Amino acid sequence: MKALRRFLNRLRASATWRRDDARFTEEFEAHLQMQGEENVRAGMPPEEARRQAVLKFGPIEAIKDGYRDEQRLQLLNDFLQDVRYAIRQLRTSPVFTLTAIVSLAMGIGANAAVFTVVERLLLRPLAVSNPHELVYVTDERILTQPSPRFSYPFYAVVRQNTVLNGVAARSAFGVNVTVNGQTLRASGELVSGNYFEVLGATTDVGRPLFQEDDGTPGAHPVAVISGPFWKRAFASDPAIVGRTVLLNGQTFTIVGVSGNGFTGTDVGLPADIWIPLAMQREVGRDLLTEARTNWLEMVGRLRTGHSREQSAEALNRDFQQRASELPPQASARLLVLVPGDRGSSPARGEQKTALLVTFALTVLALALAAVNVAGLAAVRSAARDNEMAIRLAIGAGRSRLDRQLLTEGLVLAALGGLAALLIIPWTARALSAAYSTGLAIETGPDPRVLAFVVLTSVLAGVAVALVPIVASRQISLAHGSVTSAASRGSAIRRLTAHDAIVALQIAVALSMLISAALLLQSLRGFNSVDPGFRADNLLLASLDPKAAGYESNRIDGFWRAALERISHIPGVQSVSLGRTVPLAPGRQRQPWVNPTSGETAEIDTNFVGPRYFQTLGIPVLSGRDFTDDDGRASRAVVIVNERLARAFWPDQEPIGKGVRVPEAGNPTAEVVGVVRDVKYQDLRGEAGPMIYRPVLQTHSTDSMVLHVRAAADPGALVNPIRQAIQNVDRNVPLFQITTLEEQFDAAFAETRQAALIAGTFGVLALFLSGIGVYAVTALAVSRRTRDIGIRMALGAQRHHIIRAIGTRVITLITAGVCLGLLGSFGFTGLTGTLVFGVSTGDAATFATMTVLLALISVLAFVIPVRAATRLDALAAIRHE
Amino acid sequence: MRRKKEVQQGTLALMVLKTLDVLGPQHGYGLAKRIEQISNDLLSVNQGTLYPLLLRLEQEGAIASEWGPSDNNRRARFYRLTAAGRRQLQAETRSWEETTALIARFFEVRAEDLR
Repeated sequence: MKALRRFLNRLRASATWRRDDARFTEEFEAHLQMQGEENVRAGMPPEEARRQAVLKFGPIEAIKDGYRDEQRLQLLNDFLQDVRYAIRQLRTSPVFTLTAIVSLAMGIGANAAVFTVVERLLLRPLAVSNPHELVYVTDERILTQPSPRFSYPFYAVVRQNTVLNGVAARSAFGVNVTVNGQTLRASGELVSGNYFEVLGATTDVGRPLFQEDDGTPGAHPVAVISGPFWKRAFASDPAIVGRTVLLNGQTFTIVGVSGNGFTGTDVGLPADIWIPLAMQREVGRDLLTEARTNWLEMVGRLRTGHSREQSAEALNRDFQQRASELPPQASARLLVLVPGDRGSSPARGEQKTALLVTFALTVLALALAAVNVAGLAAVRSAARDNEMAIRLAIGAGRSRLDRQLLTEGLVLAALGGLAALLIIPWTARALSAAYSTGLAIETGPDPRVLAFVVLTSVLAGVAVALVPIVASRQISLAHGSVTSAASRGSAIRRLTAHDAIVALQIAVALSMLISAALLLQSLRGFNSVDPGFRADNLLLASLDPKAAGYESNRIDGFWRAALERISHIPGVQSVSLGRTVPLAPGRQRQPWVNPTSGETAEIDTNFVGPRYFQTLGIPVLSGRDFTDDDGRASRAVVIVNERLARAFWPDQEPIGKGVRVPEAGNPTAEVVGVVRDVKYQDLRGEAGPMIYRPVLQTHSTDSMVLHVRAAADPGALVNPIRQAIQNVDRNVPLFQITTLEEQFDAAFAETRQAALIAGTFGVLALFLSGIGVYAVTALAVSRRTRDIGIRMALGAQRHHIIRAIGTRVITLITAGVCLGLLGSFGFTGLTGTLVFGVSTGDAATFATMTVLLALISVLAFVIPVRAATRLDALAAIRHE
Repeated sequence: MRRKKEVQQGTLALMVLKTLDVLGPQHGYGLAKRIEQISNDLLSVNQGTLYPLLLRLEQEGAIASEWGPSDNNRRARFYRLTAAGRRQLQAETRSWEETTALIARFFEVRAEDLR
């Protein structure tokens, strides 16, 4: 207590640089006055009285120092002094300092960015109470799938168990939310009444959903919204509780806002709004009695202190006793409990490995960066031997010197860390975009990331300081500034580990560069592929009329009116509809019977609107495009691609032929056109057989994608199109607005990510290996300055000197390049599937990158060596 | 000339606390003089070293200080014992007495007592 109070007082004095000298001076003066008067009273003359008083007071400066020591914290003061000294030192060699800071910033920044994504996707627990008790209730059969689902009757049975502390069910669905007459698309979740209780999720405003909200079907139109959605759609309206919104056209009352940033259990796919399962019919489902449709995910909470294994066993016994009311197939399922503390994410699984590999690579890169900066620091410390020896000679303690060097390392790393903080938001966003297409991860800095940056900075700082500290141990006080031959020898031997690391860097840099170059060439290859359609100036936007209450008898009118209005917007050349979009995720397949072989096969089938092929720029080879007349009233028609035509009617004219439509009651449709093949799934592969059907003949009310061909920038059309749709029906929002070009780009995302990552690391490694070679060479030169001087004095030519120093450096560059070339073959094996349009063993690429790396290395070698050969022989001999 | 004894800082702190306890608030010069008087000039204190000690005791909360007028109406800093300081003084007095009693017993010991 006493010590703490004193510590705080002194800390405050230190931190504020407060110097309470005034108080001491005044007390000192008062003391002298009083003592002087006393002396005068004792009979001394005034001059003598004061002199005696001063003598009696003691050595004033020493006492003042003691007073200051008491006032502040000595260690902290020393530290601050060290820091100021370190900054002065670093400013004397700006090139070293800048190089070191940039290397460390790149290393630390890359690590922190990867850590940010790893933390968000893999480590962060859900924002609920005791997340470690949460488990997904799933079954063995679908354990490997990302979203295990069960039917409602199945859930109703499992829910009754007495083993877990509650089991909740959820199902995600896209929902149209109408707020103040504006309709927007949001991610909704139908949840059981105990969802918030089981998850332990709280609300910031209002209340969560309760069991009572999930009773009579249709009787509880209440909703809880997420904090971010509250902010986004309601501008954080404080009077949110009690407000009504339309969800798919039905009125719901908002009763609460989720707390702690809770956005459901799907990491990367945040939920905006939760409504009770009892309201599923109101938002367009009818599944409560459906025992064969699996649509629910179950989350349970373990009883406190119970293990997952013992609970799973007990749960299965409990389930078997109750399962008699379920179909036999369902009752045979074995329930499995999977940890749910961190939710689930589509980005886990394979991507997890990729992410962890990247993390390992960045850690390696940081280690290499630290080693390099340490190597540079060693070069500098060699030049500072004199300074150190002098400081030792005038009585500085070894530990004081160590502390000085450590402070310099830490200051460098701190500056590197600060610089890294500046680039983290940017790199983390780029990285998360690269790793998790379509996932929303918040990338702002947070305490964990900050702590990580501080930790890595400190570690890097210590690593950087170690080399000069070890080197300073060799400075012998007895010899003053002259290092003994023996210690010089050992210094050179000690650096062999450093040499190996530099060679390794060269190897890593080379393999990364080669991979990056191959991937970049693949990207160019992709751009030259003809996908079979025109991707430029084509706007895509999704519409979900079913969510707005459309049934199949009215859907026709809606589509026709929408297409009609949009086609009149200035700047629109053509407009159509499609169920699936080329190169976008998702495909639709239907069973068709091959009229020649008689076999039934699942064939990609797209439901499209009138003028689809004209809009997409897909050439119609024979026959015609779909028109407005291809509706319900007219006979059923289809258009096929070349491949399908060849498969169904080899060597025959397909136009006018009939095919059996998959649905009952529609026996045949006539082929009215043959179009060119389009690569729907994958640009690298061949186009598959494809059948197109007019959506206006299908009675389908599922969501469709508007395809709008614009004369110029399609972005300018978004608002007029939105307006046009609103004029037809204000309850139907546009969502997932994008362009075909973006879809096209997204199709190469994987290759681009790999190119980006390999490129970044390649450049980083190139930079690092350059520094590494420089450090090794410069150190060799500085250690052998006198040696060089003597040789030159004895008549050695420049090339002799270069050879003397260069042999080792050239050897390690060569070793690094060979190792790198070997590594490249292994590395391209990893990325080979992403390489396209260029051989993975492309000789030109290998040669170019090798030359590039060799050039950089030789440059990094030549700079310090040139300096050595310019030495004046006499000056060099006197160097030490 | 008698050899003057160096004082350890802990001892000096105890003397300061005791003096303040007995005599009430004092300024630095007053404290220095009292300690000198009581020890019969036996202790040589560089009077100035008292001030860092006073600062330390104040930071620890054992004493408090404020400016006030001295006897001849000059501004001086007066130190007084706080409640915490009084407790500290009592505790240290006790432990000091225990130590001296212990040492005293050792001095009285004769060889035959230990047989």
